Amino acid sequence: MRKLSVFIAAAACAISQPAFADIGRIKNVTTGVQIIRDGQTISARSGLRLEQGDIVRTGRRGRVGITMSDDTRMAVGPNSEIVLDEYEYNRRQQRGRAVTRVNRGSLGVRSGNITRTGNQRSMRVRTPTSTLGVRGTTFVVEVQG
Amino acid sequence: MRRGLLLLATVTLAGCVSGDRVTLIANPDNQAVGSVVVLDQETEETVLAVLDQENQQARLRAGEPRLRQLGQADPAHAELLGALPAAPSALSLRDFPTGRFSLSEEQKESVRLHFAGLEDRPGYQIEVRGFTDSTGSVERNVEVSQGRANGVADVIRELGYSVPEEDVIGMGEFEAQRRNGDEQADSSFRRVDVVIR
Repeated sequence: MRKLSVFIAAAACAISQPAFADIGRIKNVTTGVQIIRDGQTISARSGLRLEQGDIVRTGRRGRVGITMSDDTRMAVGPNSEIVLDEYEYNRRQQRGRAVTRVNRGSLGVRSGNITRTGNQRSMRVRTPTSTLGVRGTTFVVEVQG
Repeated sequence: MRRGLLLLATVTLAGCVSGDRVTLIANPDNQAVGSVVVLDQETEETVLAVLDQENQQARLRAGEPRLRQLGQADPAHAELLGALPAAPSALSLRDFPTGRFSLSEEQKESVRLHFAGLEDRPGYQIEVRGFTDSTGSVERNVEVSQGRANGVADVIRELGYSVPEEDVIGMGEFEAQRRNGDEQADSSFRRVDVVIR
């Protein structure tokens, strides 16, 4: 009975939480970094809210640091293209899932709350040849593209 | 013969310098290193390789990845990770009087100190998270924690800082349940965290 009430309450919490369009924010950024959203190009700036589906593209000397809603932190290196394909995070329950794609360049990640559940499929990183599952760690992915 | 050697050298060199890869890096503060698994790309279920050692690297390619252990950290990785944003920083406030969500002068001062250097964090965001332990109902605990978070957020606003409504969150008992199980009293969860992200 208790479990049922927890389930109902959890569902109610999830529903009653405001729907956040932004899934993360740009923090530190150099020049030459663009966000492609729905085909439109946006110049990256500190504080810019990111949305699911955004493409982060850096130029020859571009670098950008991103903090996601679950406190995952990312650093994107020069000449890179990263796509925030899927991202769901319930801030109250601190659970969710994320799929990030590295098309080219380099991505450094310090994983956050999403990977604390112990499920290595809750955070995935895709490259042109592979899919990675992550559990509570720091790693670098490099793709020649 | 010469052509064969040239071809062999080219292939060997390409094997050394090309190819996608993932490298596991030491976590800060002596935390466990965690792990990354390489999954079968089609099913995303079958595990092809596990990286669970610092400086372990997998060459990524169609089929089986190739694992190797780096002798030392790659300076290029350190440079890349140098661009990570600062880690979120949390100030925990405890000892709230029952039914009231005010802060003592001492707590207000600790909030001011917590926010010192805020301008050095580009694109900063202040998040207020209220918690409870796992005694009582889930619904009530969400309500109580939201009330505490709202109260602290109001004080922070009075101190002159901006806290959007969407960043004031009643976390309820979920974290306490995960750590302690249900119906466990634990004063460390009767708190509000003021997080700078």
